[in-house]
Amino acid sequence: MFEAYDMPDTHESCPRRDVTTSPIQALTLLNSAPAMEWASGLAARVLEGGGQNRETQIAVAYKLAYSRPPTAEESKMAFDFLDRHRAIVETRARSGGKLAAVGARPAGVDAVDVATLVDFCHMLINANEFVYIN
Amino acid sequence: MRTPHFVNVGSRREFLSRAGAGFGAIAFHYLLAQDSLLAAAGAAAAGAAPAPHHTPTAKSIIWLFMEGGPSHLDLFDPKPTLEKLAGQPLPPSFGRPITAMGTASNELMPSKRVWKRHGQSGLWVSDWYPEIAQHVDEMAVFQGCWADGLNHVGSVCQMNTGSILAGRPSMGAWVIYGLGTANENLPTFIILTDAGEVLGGPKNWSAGFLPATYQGTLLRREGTPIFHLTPPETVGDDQQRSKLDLLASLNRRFNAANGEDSELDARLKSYELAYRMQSAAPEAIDLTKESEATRKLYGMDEPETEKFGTNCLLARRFVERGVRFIQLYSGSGSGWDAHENIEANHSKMCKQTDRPIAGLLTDLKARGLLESTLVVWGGEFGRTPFNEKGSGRDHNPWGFTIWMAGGGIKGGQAIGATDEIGMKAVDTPCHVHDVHATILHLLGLNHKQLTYSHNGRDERPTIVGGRVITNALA
Repeated sequence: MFEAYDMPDTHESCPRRDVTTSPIQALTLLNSAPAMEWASGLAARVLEGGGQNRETQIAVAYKLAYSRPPTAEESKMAFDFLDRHRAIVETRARSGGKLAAVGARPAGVDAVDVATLVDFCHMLINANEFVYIN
Repeated sequence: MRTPHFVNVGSRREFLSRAGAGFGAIAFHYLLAQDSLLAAAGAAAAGAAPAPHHTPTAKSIIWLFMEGGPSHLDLFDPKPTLEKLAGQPLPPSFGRPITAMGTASNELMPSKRVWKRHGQSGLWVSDWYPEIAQHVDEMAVFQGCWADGLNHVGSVCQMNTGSILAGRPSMGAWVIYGLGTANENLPTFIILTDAGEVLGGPKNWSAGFLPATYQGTLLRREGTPIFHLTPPETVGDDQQRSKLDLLASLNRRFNAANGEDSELDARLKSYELAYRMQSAAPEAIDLTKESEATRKLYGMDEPETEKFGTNCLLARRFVERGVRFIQLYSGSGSGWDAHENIEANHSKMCKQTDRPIAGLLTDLKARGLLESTLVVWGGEFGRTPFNEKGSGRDHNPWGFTIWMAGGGIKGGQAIGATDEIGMKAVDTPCHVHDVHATILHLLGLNHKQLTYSHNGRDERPTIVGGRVITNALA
């Protein structure tokens, strides 16, 4: 992770960090185990605070990730994504593919729904709004 | 007569007289603006799709960067006069250069190498590079190179960006800006290192003021060159695609709200490239299908040459797949910096690079790739004819050697020369800007027409210098 983000030499002072954007960084945040863990962690908190209602989940996820509620348009976009993406995850589940999970799945919550939510959370924390301060 | 690119102004009087000349130059530039060349440059800047300015002779470049400063005096530029003057101080006629370590009063030190002429062309190469010497007929050896910097960070930066001050785009970034990519599925400007961090780090492959998407991609040094090429086991391909579509809409929305920012746009694009790399890159970096003979050719069967040989082989594979600009650092972290005991240092560094580079040239040629691939060898500067600490040599930016092969280079010739002791370039001096102008020319770009408007100025890769060394062209 440090390497992908050009960690400065620890033997010298570093007055200013380099700004880099590379596909290596994208691959790291997209495919590495830590990034998936963070996504699962966020999904667990969303389930905890948002229950099983999709709209509430989206609102809680935006609040946790971006410290703001989603606009109506964003909420709809997220809703549509969860709908569409769930179908893909479900096909995967039916063919015996492994699904992303959260630490302790609350009782009565469907494993496919959880995996779909993990993917949603994963992209929220990959987005520019999460990565850049301004 | 040539003027240094950086001049320390000594007095207030000198400052005012120089500044005055500068104002005159602005007026002169206004007159020149009606000139067709500058008009063409403006048109190129306004043009949309990247395209070469003329038919290129090279499609790709492999730049072998010997970081730390290899000694031209012990590799490609023999100086019999130095034998005669051994142990004597620098003759007064050579002036008194200011060196990085203040060594100009030290005695002159001849090379301990055994020299031989090689090939049809009879170019000189020392016994430190016996295998590369077999390729002299492919090489144009620029013996009169010179640069502006005294220290490593500035000089490595200049060799990459044209300026000793960080912040300008690297040549790789300019090339991609000018030509676009030839393979949508791999980064088109790749950097490979073999030892430590390159001095100055990512500034050397930065996009500078060009859009951030043109910056180079540094691959990993140890183990597999690229991590995380496979999605996690819980994510299938259609699932990954669907996630990335969501990410793209999230980012587009955010970027639109935050105005034009090339960083944000670069990040959006980097995910799309990352997605495509998942299928293309594993194959590109997989060396297991290379034959035993090929591995041997690159020296991958010996511990000293394994690392640089692996990088050279990766470079060939990238060239085959359309990657335009590949930079390989030897001794990354200033490995060639032989201030003392140059015998031990250069013996080691030459050993590490001789077979891999010779192997690369042989392999490129055998595959018919050499004619469209420009191979450049050089450091950020050369080394002094006088000794440092009795056994080493100090930095020498006033005269040093770079060679190029393939990609439209007329091989088997030496271009330019240093003085009798190898200190300064005196014949056909080739400044870093000239090196850059020549490289860009071979890749189909006119260094004066390749411009980008920044802070109210049409900036170009060679700043306000540079000329194509036409003797070098086939």
